[in-house]
Amino acid sequence: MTSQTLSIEGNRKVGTTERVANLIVETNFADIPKEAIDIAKDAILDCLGVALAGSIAPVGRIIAEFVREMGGTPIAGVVGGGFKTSSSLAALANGIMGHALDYDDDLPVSTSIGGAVHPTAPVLPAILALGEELKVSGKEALTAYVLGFEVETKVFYGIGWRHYVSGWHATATMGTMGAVAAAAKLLKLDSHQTRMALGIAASEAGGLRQNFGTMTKPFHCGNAAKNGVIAAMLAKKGFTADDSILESQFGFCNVFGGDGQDPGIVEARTTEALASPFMILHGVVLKRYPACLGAHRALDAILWLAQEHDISPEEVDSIECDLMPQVINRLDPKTGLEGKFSMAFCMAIALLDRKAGLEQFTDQKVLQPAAQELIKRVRHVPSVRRDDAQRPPAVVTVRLKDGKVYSHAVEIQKGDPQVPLTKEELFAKYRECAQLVLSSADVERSSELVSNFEDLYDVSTLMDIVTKGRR
Amino acid sequence: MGVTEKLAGFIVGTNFGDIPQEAIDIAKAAMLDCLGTTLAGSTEPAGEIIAQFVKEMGGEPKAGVVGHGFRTSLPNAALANGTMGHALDYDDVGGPIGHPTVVLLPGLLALGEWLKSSGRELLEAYLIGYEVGSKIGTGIGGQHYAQGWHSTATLGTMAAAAACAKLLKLDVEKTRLTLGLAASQAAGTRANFGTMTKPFHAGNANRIGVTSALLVRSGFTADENILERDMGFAALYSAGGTYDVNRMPEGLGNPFHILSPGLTFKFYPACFESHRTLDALLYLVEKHNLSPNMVESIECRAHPMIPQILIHSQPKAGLEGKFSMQYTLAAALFDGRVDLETFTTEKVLRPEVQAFFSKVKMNIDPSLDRSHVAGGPDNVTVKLKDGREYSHQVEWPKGHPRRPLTKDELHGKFRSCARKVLAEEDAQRVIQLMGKLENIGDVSTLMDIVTEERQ
Repeated sequence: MTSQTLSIEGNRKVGTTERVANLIVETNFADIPKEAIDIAKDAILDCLGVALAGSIAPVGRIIAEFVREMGGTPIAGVVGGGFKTSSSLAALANGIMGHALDYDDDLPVSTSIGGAVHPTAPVLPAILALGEELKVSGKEALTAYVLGFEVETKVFYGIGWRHYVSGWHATATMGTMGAVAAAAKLLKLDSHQTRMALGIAASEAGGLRQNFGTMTKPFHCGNAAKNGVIAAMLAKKGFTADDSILESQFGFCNVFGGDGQDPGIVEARTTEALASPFMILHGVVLKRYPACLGAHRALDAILWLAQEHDISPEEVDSIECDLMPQVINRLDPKTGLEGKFSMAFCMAIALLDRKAGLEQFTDQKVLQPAAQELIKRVRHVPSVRRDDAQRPPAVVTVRLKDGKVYSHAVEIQKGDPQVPLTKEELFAKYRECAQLVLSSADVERSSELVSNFEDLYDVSTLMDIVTKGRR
Repeated sequence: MGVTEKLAGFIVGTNFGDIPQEAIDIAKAAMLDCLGTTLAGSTEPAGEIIAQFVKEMGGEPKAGVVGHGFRTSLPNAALANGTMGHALDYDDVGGPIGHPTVVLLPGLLALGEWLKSSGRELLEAYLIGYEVGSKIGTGIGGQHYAQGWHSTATLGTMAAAAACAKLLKLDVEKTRLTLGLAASQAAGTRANFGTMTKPFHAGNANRIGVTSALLVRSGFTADENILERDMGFAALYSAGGTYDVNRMPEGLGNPFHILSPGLTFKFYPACFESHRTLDALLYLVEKHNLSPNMVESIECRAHPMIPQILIHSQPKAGLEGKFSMQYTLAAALFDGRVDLETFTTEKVLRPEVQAFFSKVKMNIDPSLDRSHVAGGPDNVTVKLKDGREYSHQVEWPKGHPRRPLTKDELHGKFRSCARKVLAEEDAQRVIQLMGKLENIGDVSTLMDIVTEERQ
């Protein structure tokens, strides 16, 4: 892809949808910097790990059983499932598993849309399902991944924050557009077919943040992946749709852009974003805790305080922090899933267990009297409202019954590209997740395959491992 | 008690005996009509592609695909049959959902074939889904559609979820979760009018209804108050918060929406917004024996919303022609009729017809009364080259509850649709079966006929 493809062709105005389609069609592996490929491989390994762990979460088990009952031409494997189904159903199941634990990656603050889109979980499952069906190479899969990432984030950048603020789950809506971009690339659709695919996908995009803290949140990711697969496959078969869906009067940006937003501004912002370097070059946030990203800085802070001052839960009179109720919306958590969307529970469990790992977000942990008792001691102290570029640090203050007060502030959470996980930490997280399902030999083999993903001849080799039945 | 809980209570607590016979009778006619448009739609390009697609995807053979002679999974059958049902834009119309039957019947028949549901259960679930989807739309208000959402897709998804929860006999709690899960999948924008993606919206609504109810039955969770919450369905889909959720449970089933404001059966396979002007022009063409070479121009009066729905002023494809005031009127003048043969790409591209588009003028009149589907007079004036002028005004299009189709016209429409796929005697059997639907023990009897591979 060169900047020339983004310019005006003759006197004809090139619309946003056409620009996006051209980007998808014209970008090849050689156009993607090595740095982007390296970030992509880390994100892919991380997503596979959390999907493997997610396959044994309740929502993972339900969706695998559902997909098995529905049946489908056995073309693409279900992670941890030991069976194959159609590519669309495999994308659905694997996408749900990838987001089941809310442990998958996120966008860093440096993108200015940080924390609003989980970039990998809606896109990667579409690629792996179709990739298995089409027997694509690692290079093709990586190219499709970078493009899916690019489209979902830059369309979102164009529409702007108000989309997320008003209540849309951007991972679902933008994820659908990312998944279709990746699927269109793998299916080698031409520019016209790609525009049709984008048009079909736009009419499948949905997802409400009201469903945070329920199984429907991870469902959004699987649904986005499945939407992308279906839209691209239908377009390939000649299905039609509006050819300018992003900018059309009654199209994607209009219904999802919030009311009254000037379509010209959206188009200008998207165009500008598309002409900038790949979004993935900002890096991704690899999560250290399987909880809403909004809680991570406060978790870093309280875990540090608990360790540093050896705080035992019984000594605690109160905990003060910003509960961020607009994002972390479960104020009275009763299930493990709701606990991931409760700042108060995150604070409570961090004090109780001095950990916030996979074992901490279960129904039993949330319902235990000690946690429920501590939750009542967490007080909401709002920080100054975030604007796009700068945000105040997350401050956690613990007041003890004996009058001592400890406070700690965290600017950027561990796992952000500015404070990145080391390779060793990334592999350790992968192992922690993957060993729940895979043998240790398969854990090592799969991580090696992803580390050398661009040399992989056929992604089925990798899928054969991660879709084995549980040990 | 919240709004979602109230609606779920209505879904669970309402039974066949609570529904007036008049509503049952219209429901039976609507289902027959929808089966007809599905049979005809199964041979349309969108119908062929979707059938081939679900066949390739494969699935446990539990529910039949209309006109294609194979069975697949319930969601796949719901997707395919729903897309076929709307492929011709010939299916029924009723606000605020838009096209109520085609978002309900295909999913219910798929589930019903598997569950071996009775005709009564089918009618009950259909009418409850219709009612709940309509009430949700009433609470959300008109800004939803005006902003670009295709209500058949979005409200249709909620209607389908309600109906499928009923047929699966989910309890109140699980019905609430089904609505929550479905709400996160509701989608479909009007920019896709005049393309295959419009009928896909209807198929998708059915598929989502089936999938959501089945997943919740298996233990899936979602927000339990999705309609009324801050980031819930009403808030997000009403564009700027112009909704009133309290209107949703008001007067549920009293009267049923299918009775008032009622359901329109389409007489022409084109966007409903063209029907009043088509009635008027066809009347003038016949009365004055008009031919195209006599005509200087055709003018019609239209509400400002009309050109935003009939979005194709220069259509180049058959499907676009259905959403074009220019083409529908030109076709009526050139062919003297508007029917299943009218909307092929070949017919739309006729040079003399393309040349005529510039002679069709829409005079936008904001003073016209337009409560979405409730009519509103459209004046059509034909100016002849010799200076003569003829005008006609139609308040209620043929097929509207105030000008209903006769039983013979309905059956005639069904036969003309079914003929593309079914033998004459099979079409007749379907008419008979649907006539006594409430006495049928197992709806798969019906599905066995309509899912036969075409002759």
